[in-house]
Amino acid sequence: MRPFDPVYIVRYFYELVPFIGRTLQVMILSVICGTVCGALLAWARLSSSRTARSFSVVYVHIIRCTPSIVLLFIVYYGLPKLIESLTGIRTGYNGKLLYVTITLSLLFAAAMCELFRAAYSAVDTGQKDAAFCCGFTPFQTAYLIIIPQALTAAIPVFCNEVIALLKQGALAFTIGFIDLMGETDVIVARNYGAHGLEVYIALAVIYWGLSIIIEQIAGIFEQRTMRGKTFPDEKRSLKA
Amino acid sequence: MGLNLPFLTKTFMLALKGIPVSLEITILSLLFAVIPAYYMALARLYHIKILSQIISIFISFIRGTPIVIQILFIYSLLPSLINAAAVRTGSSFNIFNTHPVIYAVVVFSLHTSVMLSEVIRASISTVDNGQFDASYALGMKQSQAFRLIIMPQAVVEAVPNLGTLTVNLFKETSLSFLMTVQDITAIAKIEASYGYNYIEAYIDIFIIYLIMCSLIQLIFYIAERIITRK
Amino acid sequence: MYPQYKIEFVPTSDDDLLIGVQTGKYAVGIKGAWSTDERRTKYLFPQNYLGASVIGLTFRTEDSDKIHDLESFAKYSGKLVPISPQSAQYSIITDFNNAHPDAQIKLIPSDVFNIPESYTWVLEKRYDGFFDLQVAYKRNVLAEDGAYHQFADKLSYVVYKAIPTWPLFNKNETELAVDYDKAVTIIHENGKYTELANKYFGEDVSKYVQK
Repeated sequence: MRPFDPVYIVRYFYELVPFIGRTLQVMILSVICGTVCGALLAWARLSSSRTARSFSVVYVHIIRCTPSIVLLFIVYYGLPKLIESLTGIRTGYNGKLLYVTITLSLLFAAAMCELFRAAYSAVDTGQKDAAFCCGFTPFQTAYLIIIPQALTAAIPVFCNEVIALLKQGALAFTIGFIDLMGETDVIVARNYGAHGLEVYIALAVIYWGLSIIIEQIAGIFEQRTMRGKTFPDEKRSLKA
Repeated sequence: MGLNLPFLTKTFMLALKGIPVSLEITILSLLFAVIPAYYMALARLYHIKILSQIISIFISFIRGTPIVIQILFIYSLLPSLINAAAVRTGSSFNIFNTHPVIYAVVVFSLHTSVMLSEVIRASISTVDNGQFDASYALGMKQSQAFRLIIMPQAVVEAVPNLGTLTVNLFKETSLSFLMTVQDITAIAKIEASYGYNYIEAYIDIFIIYLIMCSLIQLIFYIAERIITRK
Repeated sequence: MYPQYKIEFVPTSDDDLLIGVQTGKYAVGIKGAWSTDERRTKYLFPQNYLGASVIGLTFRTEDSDKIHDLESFAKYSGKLVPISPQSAQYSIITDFNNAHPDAQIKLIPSDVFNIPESYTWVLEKRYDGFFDLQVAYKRNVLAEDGAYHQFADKLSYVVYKAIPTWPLFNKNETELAVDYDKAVTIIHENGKYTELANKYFGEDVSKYVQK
């Protein structure tokens, strides 16, 4: 009792593909900004200054407890008001891309902070001690010893976070940002809702494709940083 | 800003009633997800032929598609198919009488089982190889090794990630309103629609989720403390 | 007509439109909004309405002996497809329920998908009625290329009423609203309104509105 025409799936697939660029654009910007800010937050978390630590903890906590839509609305409506009250400048800037990027970066920074923290503490303290004994500077220690070891464990989690960000970006259409999801909404409204199922299937295929690509890329990086490590499933036989 | 304070407090009180519903969905989804997640993780770790491929595809789909689409499939498409089958076989089973919360639990159980299996998989692989060797050297069977040695260690690793997973799940249950479930977000939005007090409603939603997620994180923090002390 | 105004169309969601016009992010929002008392306190309403929505009930043809209007529907089962509380349809049904304490429609609030799963739900007896815009019904069921045209014989429609729709202005935009009113009056007088209405609605919808 439901009209379904698979032909439309293909047709809408082609209509949606151009918007992949917008979605990816926001994603990549947010990942970069988020990673940088996340690294800073992690550094603050581990620093000796109590204010830095508290700020980092509180920030991460609030961001992770806020549903994405709520954060998006707060940034979109709150930020201009905040700027206006601080500087008196009334920005009429309605560029959705900026607000979405800011929101996603805030989210990703919190996730990255936790990732860096976990990866850092996963590396055996003996390694850091040994590096200290060898006379490495903190920077050398980080670059040559800690990061390579932390990387293997961090990559799958990073991959997860990126895919999660991809899906959270899907909410941007609620403030009118026309990316993949937004365009889907536009198409459905244009047709008075007809072929809704077909459009959403096409959308699902695209999102799935993107996440598979991300997973594959992460997998390649994981393999390359994994040289010299083994796992029980590879070396052990199943029958003990 | 001119916020409507009476509305803010009144809606806050009303929205609190949605907490049991949101919690119910979260907890039930977690419970139903545990066993499938465990076996899915094992299947993938041990590369069991065909099965692990199928599971990987399933995991990839659930993780890679927005939940809204999964909700659409489970809430609208699946019942249609079940209904059509029921009609064809002359059964009097009415799928449409199912309580909306059941739909929500199904959607989130599927989603959580996938996320949970990834957490379990990661935590098992952090357990040192030597543990496996030692258990087998002691003559343990695989199931014994897992039950007595590996899993306890893996669980310790997993707790922080579990905390994150639970918090994320709790936030995502706000989408249940699409399935007519009256959770925190739903109640706030319904109240807002009478007088168009959306700004106040979103502030209420923000505060409640902040409190609830903080509580959840606190619980896991305490759990982590207790477990690592043993 | 009014060259000092430059219009920029921004497609967005209902939530954003409502908050946006209220806070001034947008000067005016068009969502086919109906007038309610609460809305009049939050937004500036012009004198002239913009269009009219004809709203009614979609139901299964096999029930047409039992359903002729909203009251008979309520008495029959009242199982209505869930409605988004943000939409004015919700307040209309609420008003109906308040006016008819003996014939209540089961009004279920829910966030809604913007795709018409509703027609399928009525067809497969999940619900017995769908509070539908006439223009959507025409487009989806009656039209030859409508997605649900194959079910046209299984569905019926009965009109409830026509509601004038208004654009929502931010409270500060008094000048814009006045100019809007002038513009609407002019296009009514020179026949452009009828022309546009016929083009987009297939008929002059303003004739349905009780003056």
